[in-house]
Amino acid sequence: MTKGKWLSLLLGLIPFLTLVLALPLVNRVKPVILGLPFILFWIVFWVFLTPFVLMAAYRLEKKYDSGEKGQEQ
Amino acid sequence: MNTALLIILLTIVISAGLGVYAGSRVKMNLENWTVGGRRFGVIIMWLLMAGEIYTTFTFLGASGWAYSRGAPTFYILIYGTLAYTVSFFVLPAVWKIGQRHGLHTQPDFFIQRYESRWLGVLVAAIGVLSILPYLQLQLAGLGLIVEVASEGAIGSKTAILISFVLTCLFVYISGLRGTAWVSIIKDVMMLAAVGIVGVGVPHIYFGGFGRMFRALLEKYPNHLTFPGASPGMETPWVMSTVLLTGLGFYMWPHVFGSAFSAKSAQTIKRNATIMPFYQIPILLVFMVGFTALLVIPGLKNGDMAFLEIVRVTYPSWFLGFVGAAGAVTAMVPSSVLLLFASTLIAKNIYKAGFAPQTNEATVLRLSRILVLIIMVLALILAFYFPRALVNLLLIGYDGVSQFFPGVVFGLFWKKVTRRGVVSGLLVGFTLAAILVFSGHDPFLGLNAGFVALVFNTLLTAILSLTEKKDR
Repeated sequence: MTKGKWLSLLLGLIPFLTLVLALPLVNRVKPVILGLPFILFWIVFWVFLTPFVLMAAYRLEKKYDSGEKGQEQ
Repeated sequence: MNTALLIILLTIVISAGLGVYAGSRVKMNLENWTVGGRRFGVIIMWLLMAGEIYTTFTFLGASGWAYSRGAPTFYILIYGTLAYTVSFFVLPAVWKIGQRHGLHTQPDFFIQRYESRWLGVLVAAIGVLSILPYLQLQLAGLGLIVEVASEGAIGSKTAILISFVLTCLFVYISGLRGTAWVSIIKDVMMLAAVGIVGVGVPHIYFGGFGRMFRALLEKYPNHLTFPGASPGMETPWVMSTVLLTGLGFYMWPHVFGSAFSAKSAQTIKRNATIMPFYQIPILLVFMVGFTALLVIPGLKNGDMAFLEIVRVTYPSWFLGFVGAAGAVTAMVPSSVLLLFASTLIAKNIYKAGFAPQTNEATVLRLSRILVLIIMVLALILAFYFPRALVNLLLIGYDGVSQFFPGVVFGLFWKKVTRRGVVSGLLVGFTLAAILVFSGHDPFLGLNAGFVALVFNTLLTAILSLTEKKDR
């Protein structure tokens, strides 16, 4: 696997760590942030951040793997 | 004639009209009909994917779960996000193999990758069995929404009849292109409805989200943490469920198939990065459900919470608007379910199983005839046997998720074998069915489909590794 693929896969793990593995740790109401109970704030926060994580992954793949771009299209 | 009724009927007719128009100027062949000629760009892909993914369940179910179950409803917000992340890595590879070999459907992929027509037939059969109950669910939802939103002026059966026949018409003529165009109307109307109600209702009754949540926690202190009001839905259940549904999401034949309609692998990748934004409106749907629990407690059917609170809060024309949005929200997924059920039967069961010589023009003709046959069957079921397929719905997700190892190993692992995939799929599917129908879901606190998927994956891997190569 190319370097870009590796880095983007690592980034791709972030939603699984924050939105699955971390759930037992964040299953509580306090502190309330922006009016949301903590568990809901945590979920919304990471759902909102995931597109940016994926965009970064997209950039990284492009940056490191641009050599094979010819066959992508 | 009242305004609500007019808004609902106009929306249904205009949507169907746009759907018909979308494909009427294109010379139709199988490629154009099933995968839109493989020419969709990022924006139209986003609208199409959102169009078929956000169904009546999103509307009624997410608010219904917030109302009657509480925190477990948060799983909906999570699993979509996981699914888009998976799709970022998996779908471009699916698209490439589809482009190289001219694939149209999910079973096509299995036939191509594992060189087995019968595996294709098996995948198609499981696919169709999962799609049909899902289609019935959309129709039932549509009938319910329109009946309530028109305050009884259009009965549920009339609503189903009118909108489903029109849906079949645009599918017959335009195929996936029709779905994509109608998605535009649907997405705009649903976002408007969810935005207005989701922001409006908590403000009208409590003066804001924060105060609404404070009131909710005072009255129901355990509602907003797992397991909420559903004792079986502890944190491990949520974790295993979001994994199962997140991985299984793109394994639905109609969602998988839609990936082929993209114009390039890059389009799909870029589409995947912006898809999670579409999850945010679901947060507003939750707000509606939570507010409804405080304002109109004691509803027998929690799924009615959204419509009921709109009914008691807003003027009747706005209820009509919400009903119209709900109707298109059912029409779009119905159209794509119908399209792929027909293609799966024509191309992957009839042609692959019984008549390999059939040419593409005949497959298209047959698929279109099947649209009409399924329409009639679905209407009969909806009118006379509304509960006939309910049991199948219980294992829909569990069933299609079992395709995951076959797809992902098939794309990224050279050693995977046909025997491994077939055995894993059969064992996974059977195990899920046994656990669900014997009342063992959740199993040891975990989602039964997830347990089955773990067995399936292990079995596929072990058999593939131990198989002696003949060649």
